[in-house]
Amino acid sequence: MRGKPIVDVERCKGCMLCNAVCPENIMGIGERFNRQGLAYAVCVNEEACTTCRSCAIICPESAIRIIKYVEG
Amino acid sequence: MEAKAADFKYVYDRPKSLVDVPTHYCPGCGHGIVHKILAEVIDELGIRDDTIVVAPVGCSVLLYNYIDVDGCEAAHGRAPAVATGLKRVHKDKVVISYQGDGDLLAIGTGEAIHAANRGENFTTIFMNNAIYGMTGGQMAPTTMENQVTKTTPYGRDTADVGFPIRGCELVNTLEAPVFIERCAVYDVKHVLKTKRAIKKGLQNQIEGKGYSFIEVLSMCPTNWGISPVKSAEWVKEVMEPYYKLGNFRDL
Amino acid sequence: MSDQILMKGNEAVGEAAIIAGCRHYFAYPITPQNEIPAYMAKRLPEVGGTFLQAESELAAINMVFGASAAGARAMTSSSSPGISLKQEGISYIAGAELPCVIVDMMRGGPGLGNIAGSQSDYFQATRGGGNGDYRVLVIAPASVQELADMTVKAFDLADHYSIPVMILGDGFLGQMSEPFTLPEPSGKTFDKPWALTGAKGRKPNIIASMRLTPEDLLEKHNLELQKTYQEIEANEVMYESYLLDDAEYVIVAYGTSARISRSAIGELRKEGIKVGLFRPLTLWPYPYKELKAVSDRAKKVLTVEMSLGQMVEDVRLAVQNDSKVDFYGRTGGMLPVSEEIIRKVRSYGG
Repeated sequence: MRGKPIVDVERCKGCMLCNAVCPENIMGIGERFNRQGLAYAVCVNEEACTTCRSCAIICPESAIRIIKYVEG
Repeated sequence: MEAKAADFKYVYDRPKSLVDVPTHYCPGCGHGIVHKILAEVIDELGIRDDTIVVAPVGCSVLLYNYIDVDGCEAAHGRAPAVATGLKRVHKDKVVISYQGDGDLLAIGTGEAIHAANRGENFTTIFMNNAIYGMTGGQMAPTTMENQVTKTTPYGRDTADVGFPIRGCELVNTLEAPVFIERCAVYDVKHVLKTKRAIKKGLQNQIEGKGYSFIEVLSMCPTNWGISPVKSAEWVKEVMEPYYKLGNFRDL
Repeated sequence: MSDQILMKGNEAVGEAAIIAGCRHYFAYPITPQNEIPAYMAKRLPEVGGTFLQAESELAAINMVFGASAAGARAMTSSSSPGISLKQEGISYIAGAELPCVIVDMMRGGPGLGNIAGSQSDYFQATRGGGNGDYRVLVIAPASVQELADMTVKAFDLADHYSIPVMILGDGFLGQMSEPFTLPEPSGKTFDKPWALTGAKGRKPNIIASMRLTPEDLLEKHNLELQKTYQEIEANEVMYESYLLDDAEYVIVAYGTSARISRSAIGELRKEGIKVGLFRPLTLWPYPYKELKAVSDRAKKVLTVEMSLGQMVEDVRLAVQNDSKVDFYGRTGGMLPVSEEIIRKVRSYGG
């Protein structure tokens, strides 16, 4: 696993632009709602994440941060 | 399995100059993207302490709540005049006039053209989403032909209310501006291009080169009545052919 | 004693603004105040200032908004129709609690009217032509000397209370040349921590007139503005009394109308008629109390204006006895005639 997106559940408004730009299409809309009553984005397959940051770059709410695992 | 704190690092994080608060923007709104990349550029250029933003009347009227710099609000359409006054006093500060399509090309056309024509040394970020957002979806000067809005319920009839106005081409007829570019934020490639344009626009100002005009084709899902993802496609398929992207001037 | 110089009223305003430290002036051409932009275009570059001819009066007042928001002393000038165009900007400046000086050399109206002097914008100046419960401090000089002195004072009042201040003259005052002494700078300084200067080492400053969210209620904001206005009403009223001690008849007039009334009073006094002049210098805050004290002792109060009766309403508010209140006015750029004032006051004696 190289890394993954971390979605700020309360900031996400469920616009799903992240999934539209994700090369691996691994961002899905979750089942649960945040306090604003909005379904929020969830990374459905973290193994496939290449940490290309597309989802974070397009996100209008700056709700996505990307982490990269460092060996050792 | 939550990664142990030690063995990862952030490779993408929120810009420091973006105030860490939720925005009032609708899901998929282009303002949020441009605010973020503007904040990123402010961080990268290290100008947080020297920047003043002028917010328009429109959805981005609360811009100054989101960018961690000095800011003020201008009456509808008057941001270029307010920015002129600010810049004439603080020649060493970075002044940004952030406007929507109604603000810049409808009520504020006079101020927009003349600030550009004087070559005022500030940077305009012109958000073109082909509709009036804050007031609930009325026609804008940039509304597309046949586009349905609250005030063009039968679709914009160009025989009746004329054609969408192309901001960059209008500004391009003027001698003074040093940088004119139209960008978009409907996908990552274009967001990064927009960021480069904004960065160039601010660098021009820092180097005292003169007036920069950056038009950004942006999404307004709520008032277009389609999903955010479809809105991004609409910009690409309907707006972009009419509003050609690219650089018009880079002196 | 600094010697006297001869200047047009319009130019005296320009020089006084520079003396007051105004280095940012934005305006648009309109008769009868064109000498001000012309003068500032020459003088401001000499003192390292900014002169900018805006694309409209409306743009000019918004440039003033920006320059003032940046912490600078900023001014614009215009005449009646141009001032109408500035009303939105003035309302925003008041709402954002920004200081500035606006010069209005009134001309005949309504509409395009003509270019002769007039006072038919009293309501617009004192009641405000923009939206919201705001006030503009309005000073109405009656001579080139007073135009100069009051311009310097206007900048101090604007900065002290953080409000728009208007110098309200008319075309005659602007075009008239009179010997006068250049005022001295007041030497007062006002720090502006709220100014937009780049948020170095501090939280960002926000200057705005919108109060959308419930936390910063617009009403709360308005009530704070009102406190400032009450303070101004209590401390900044200015007026002149002329031969009022024994006056049975009082003429109330400001600006050019007051000058004409003075000459009429001279004639009437020769005939033994006890008449005096009450000349408001601030039209807002209006000297209601002071005028009432004078009118209580008088048999008749004649308001003379270059309009069809606007300040007379404030006189009625002050006198609170309509049977005492009379009015004589000419409008459309005409001057009140001294003989007509004399005829009217004579008639009061029965």
